[in-house]
Amino acid sequence: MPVICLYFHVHQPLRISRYSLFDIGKNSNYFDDSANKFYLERVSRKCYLPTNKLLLNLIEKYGEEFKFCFSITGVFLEQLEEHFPEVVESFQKLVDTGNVELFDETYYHSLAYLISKKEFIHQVKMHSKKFKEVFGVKPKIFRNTEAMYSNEIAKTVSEMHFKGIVAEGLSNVLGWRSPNFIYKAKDSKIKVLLRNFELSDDIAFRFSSREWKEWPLTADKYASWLSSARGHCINLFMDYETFGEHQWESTGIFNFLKHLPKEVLKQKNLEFATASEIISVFPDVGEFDVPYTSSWADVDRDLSAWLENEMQQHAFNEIKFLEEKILSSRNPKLISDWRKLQISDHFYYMCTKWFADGDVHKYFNPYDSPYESFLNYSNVLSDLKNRIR
Amino acid sequence: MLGWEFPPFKSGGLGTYLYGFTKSLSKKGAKVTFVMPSAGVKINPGFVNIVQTSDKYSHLDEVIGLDFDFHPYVPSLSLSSANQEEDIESADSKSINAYGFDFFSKVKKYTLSAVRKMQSKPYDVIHCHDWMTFPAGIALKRIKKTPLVVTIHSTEFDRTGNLFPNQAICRIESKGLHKADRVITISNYMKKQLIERYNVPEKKISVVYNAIDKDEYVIVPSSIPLKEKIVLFLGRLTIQKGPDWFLYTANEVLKHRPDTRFVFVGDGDMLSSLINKSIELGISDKITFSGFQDDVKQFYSVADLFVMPSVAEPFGLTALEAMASNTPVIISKQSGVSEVISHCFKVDFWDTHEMTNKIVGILNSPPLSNELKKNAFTELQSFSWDSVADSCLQIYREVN
Repeated sequence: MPVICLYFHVHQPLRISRYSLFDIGKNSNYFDDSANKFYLERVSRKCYLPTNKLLLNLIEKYGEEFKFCFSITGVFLEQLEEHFPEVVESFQKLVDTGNVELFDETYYHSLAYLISKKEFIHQVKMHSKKFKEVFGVKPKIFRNTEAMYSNEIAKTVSEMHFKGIVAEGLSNVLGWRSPNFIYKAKDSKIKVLLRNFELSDDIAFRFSSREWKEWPLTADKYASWLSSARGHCINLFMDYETFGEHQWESTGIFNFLKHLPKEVLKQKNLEFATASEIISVFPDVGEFDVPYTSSWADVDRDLSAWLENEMQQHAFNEIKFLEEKILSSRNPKLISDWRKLQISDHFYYMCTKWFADGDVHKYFNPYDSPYESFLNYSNVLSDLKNRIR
Repeated sequence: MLGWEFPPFKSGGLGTYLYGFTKSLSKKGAKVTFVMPSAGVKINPGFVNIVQTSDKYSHLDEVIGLDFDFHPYVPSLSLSSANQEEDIESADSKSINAYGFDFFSKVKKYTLSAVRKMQSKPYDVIHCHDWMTFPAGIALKRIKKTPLVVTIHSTEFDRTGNLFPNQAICRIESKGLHKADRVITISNYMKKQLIERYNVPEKKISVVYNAIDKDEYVIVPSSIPLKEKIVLFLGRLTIQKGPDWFLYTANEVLKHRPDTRFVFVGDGDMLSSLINKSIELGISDKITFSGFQDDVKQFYSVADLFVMPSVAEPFGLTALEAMASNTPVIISKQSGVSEVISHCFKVDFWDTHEMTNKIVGILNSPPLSNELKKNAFTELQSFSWDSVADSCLQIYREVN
């Protein structure tokens, strides 16, 4: 009898201002406050506030029987606290019910592990500290940016006393095995929770697609699929913005979510559980071995959305090689700017894969082209480097 | 097919266009008769029958074909239009003398001799390119009852940078557009203009984007290491093409990258003022005016960057040519080509600050330059003459 683990990832990047050659040396405010506030307001109105309210109602209605998990990035909380504290409160209310488990991650939603282990650990600790402050909680489960995962990352996370880690249910790693079980990471004790990408993406991507033969997806149909799935646990992991932002209200996504608990609980063999409950109840059935770094992004499930082309690699290496100089400056504003420039979204905007096709990359991209994005970022980096000297 | 230029007698993009287009048409089985004001040299690329319209005036036409001292694309700014009445027949000798050559009477000759040569032969479609051929097309349509398709590559408004369009030419353009059974334009930018300025019914207009034969362009790995970075402008030195904006930008860029050379390839009425301006700005040692060049491929290929700062550009084939030569491209947003290419920078022609930002950015950053080159070259795959020919053949079928 499989248990259902719902996990939502919440994040908004800090967008960089239009920053030209003529700003270098004159202006060190890199981030576009008004644009960030604009997007934050929009997503709060369309997604966070209504979905939080809906989930709170569901918890009140189903009590112990309905539970789920969140990860919320530090840079996002920071922005909310400044502009929309009422949204922070609505998340706090949810966490206070006791039915919501929080996952830790890097504070900056960054590729910090690729900068250095030291930087990665620092950003995870920053995030833990923020969660302690805002929610009074110490998470046991870790989720790396975009579910980036490798044996080495798992080992590092395990050494930081996390009990579980999120990863993509990679078909090429699993082979004939199912993602609906708990695995153990290779080389460490930590348990791996694998995303069931088929069932997750039915909601996150296909829900409103009229070309999809299952459209329209109803909660009872979906619950029947869950019920007939085999294994111990079905991990439905997705961006929280799926509700109201990626899938607009008019697609019926809120109705779907509203009826989901009822339909799931109707099925005799299904129940909801948090990630921690799952890893404490179910034994691991095998080893999950990923020698390279994988992720949950795009069809390639690798790092290519951030670090494929020459521009992305160049920009990332510049940031990476600044680590020592920046940290030894002991200038808090400089260090904070450097970390904010590590937010993975900056590199995502430089992605040239499918750029001309106008797909998901383009939809979330504030720039006209990856080249605009790179040039803007390079100019900012030039200024940042000037400030070190 | 009625045109005004054809390789090797060409001065601009139209000749290149007609060559690639007719080549692909004939490959697809269409029989193309090409009418042009040619010189004494026999031109026959093997896939089109060329009718030379003015055997009788071979002396004069030789001049047109070879040197093009008369050029239909030179803006007719100083042409007085007061007496240029609707019809070519009434071309006024005073305005012609003012310009130093016989402007409208050449169009008249073209018209008369094209009609004479073609009126007895059977054609399925008459396809005219730009205003000089419209009177002939209109006459042939009337006499032969053959469907008329016209392609507008640029309008009088584009050629004059919207300043002083010659009214007589505008009227010829308008007449051709309204008499035609179908109008083909090379961008939505142009389509909009035809609807707004010439009142052409929208449903009559089809957009068929330009193409390029990218194998024609050489990518020369630079054998001589150049000390300077080369930024290229290639086009007529006229208001329409924005060479003055390019010069102002050069002045800004040089403050950040003094090791840059700005090369102007092309001729035009702004040449002397550009030279004077560059002296005034104190940057003349960083500017090269190469004049008009027959072989522009090596210029594209040696450049580190190509800039097309056009004030008004119905399409902008040079952008595709630069891309085919593996050179990164910055184009003005006021161009048709900006509707269809993604792997380049797009800037408002007047925004010299942003233009400078982008030029310096590309010159400073090999990763940026490399990605632009690589992806733009791949993007060119979708601009084939075959697809232009397919679209036009479909239109020919529809009008018949």
